[in-house]
Amino acid sequence: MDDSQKAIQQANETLYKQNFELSVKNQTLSILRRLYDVSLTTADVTSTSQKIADAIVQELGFAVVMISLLDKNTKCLRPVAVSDSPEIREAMTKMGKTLDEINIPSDYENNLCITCIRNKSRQMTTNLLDILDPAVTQEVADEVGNIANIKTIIIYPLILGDEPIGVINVGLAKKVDDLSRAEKETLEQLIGLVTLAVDRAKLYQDLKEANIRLKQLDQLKDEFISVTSHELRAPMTAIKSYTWLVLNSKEGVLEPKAREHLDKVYQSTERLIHLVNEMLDVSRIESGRVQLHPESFDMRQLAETVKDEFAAKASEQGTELEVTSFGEVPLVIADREKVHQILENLVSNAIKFTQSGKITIHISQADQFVETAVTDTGEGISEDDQKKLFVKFGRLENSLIARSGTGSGLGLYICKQYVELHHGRIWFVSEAGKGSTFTFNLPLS
Amino acid sequence: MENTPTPPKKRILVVEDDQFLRDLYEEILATAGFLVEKAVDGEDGYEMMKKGGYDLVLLDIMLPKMDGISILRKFHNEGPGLAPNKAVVILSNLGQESIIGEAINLGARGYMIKSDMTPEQALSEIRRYLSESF
Repeated sequence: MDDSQKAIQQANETLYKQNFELSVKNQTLSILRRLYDVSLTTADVTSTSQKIADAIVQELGFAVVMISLLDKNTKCLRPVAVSDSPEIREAMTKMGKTLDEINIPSDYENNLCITCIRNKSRQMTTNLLDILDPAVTQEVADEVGNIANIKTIIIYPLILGDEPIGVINVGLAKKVDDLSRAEKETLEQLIGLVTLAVDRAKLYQDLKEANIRLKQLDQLKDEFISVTSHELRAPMTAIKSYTWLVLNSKEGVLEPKAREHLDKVYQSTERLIHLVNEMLDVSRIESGRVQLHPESFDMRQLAETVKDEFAAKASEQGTELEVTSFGEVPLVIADREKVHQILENLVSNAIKFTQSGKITIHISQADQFVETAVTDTGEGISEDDQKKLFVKFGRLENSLIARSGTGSGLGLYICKQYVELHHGRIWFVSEAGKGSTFTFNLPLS
Repeated sequence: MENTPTPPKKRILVVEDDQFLRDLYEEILATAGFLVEKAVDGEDGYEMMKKGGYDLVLLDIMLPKMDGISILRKFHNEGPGLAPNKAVVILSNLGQESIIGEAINLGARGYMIKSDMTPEQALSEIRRYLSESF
């Protein structure tokens, strides 16, 4: 062979080597891409790990890949996936155990996977028992190794941050020395991506489980509220009704003092019932279960109804109550019961804050809306307190409502939510010492 | 409350598990001149409703053994609907709109929340339902 032939041969060898490395790099790119895709698909840990194990075996032609994860609850290293092939299926049958049954206690030092996790470093062995101990005997391990054609096993720790989360076992049909530099590099590169993909799947699974738990809790809360409302309301109905019967009895006359006391029992029960009702309303609002049943009705007529309801209370404390309107007011289309509740709430507040004076419910049309304004000549609301008005439980510090302890602080919050469900708006103008006007509008259609 | 309806007296069935409330409605209705019969749980109520002949059934929702919605559904599925009785009205302390809607769909004439009414209001609602069913 002359020099030129030698040079050609050398060039050929170099070219061959470069070609081989290029093909391994191509494989690397292809497997990395596949793993990347796997890591992006949201799925549970088992199926993600299965996809990873299968992808590595298919792309890189290894004998087997097994992924095991640390289970914090059982303190065991548990296999979650093993690559699928006819040989592996046969080997698993021979072993007579399912993946789940190859749990390795995390303090079992004879297993190389545990060493790998402890030292956070790559391990290598030619004996399959080193990664299956104590789940199988040496004899079974040897047989399994023969069936699956495994000569060498490399164990890589899966480390997230500084925390080992498991291992990946790669079984080769050849000796470690027969692995090319490029193949070794590929393997090293894979591990980081495998860790990320598995971790992502774990997070996804945790979130999914947390979500299921939250939904169960939410349902439990709903059930709790409905049961509570029912259980609370039964005795409250009895107290309210029997007290009413005594107060309204035609037989015998109540001692004035006894009547006064019973009247207080009755009012207190009414307050309690009102409070439970408001809590139920809030719970319905917040879980988005409020259903509107729109109908068309005359706002002025509704205002008259509310006026009648409060007439006795108003005159008792020397407060004048009137309904006024401006011109012809068209009908509104809204949930009559909810609007009734809104107006009752505003008038009831006005009465609380207007010991003597005047309360006016004024109905008028403004563009495409019907406006209802409740004006009182009461004590008004200080600037500080104004901020808390529509806030849940936002009870007013400097007002009668807080001093006397009545009211849940939910009323105006509920009003606002109901008005907004109707695509309307609620607002107020107030001056301390002079009075307040609360206005809400409802669209005409 | 004492103006008695013209005979024959109207028959009302109260299906209510709470003893005090059962007694309450019996007292209010009997004083107003109605014939009142009582059922203490869902199964009891179902059997009595099946025999029928009531001008009005006041049916609770949360009941032992069989809930009110299940009773309504049983009648609904069995075909003749609520025929053996002139009207069924829900008298409950559950206020969920979904349950109210379900009860109405299954043939209940109306829905009353116990805690929101005085005896007088309950009676006038009941009279209204009775007059509507003729």
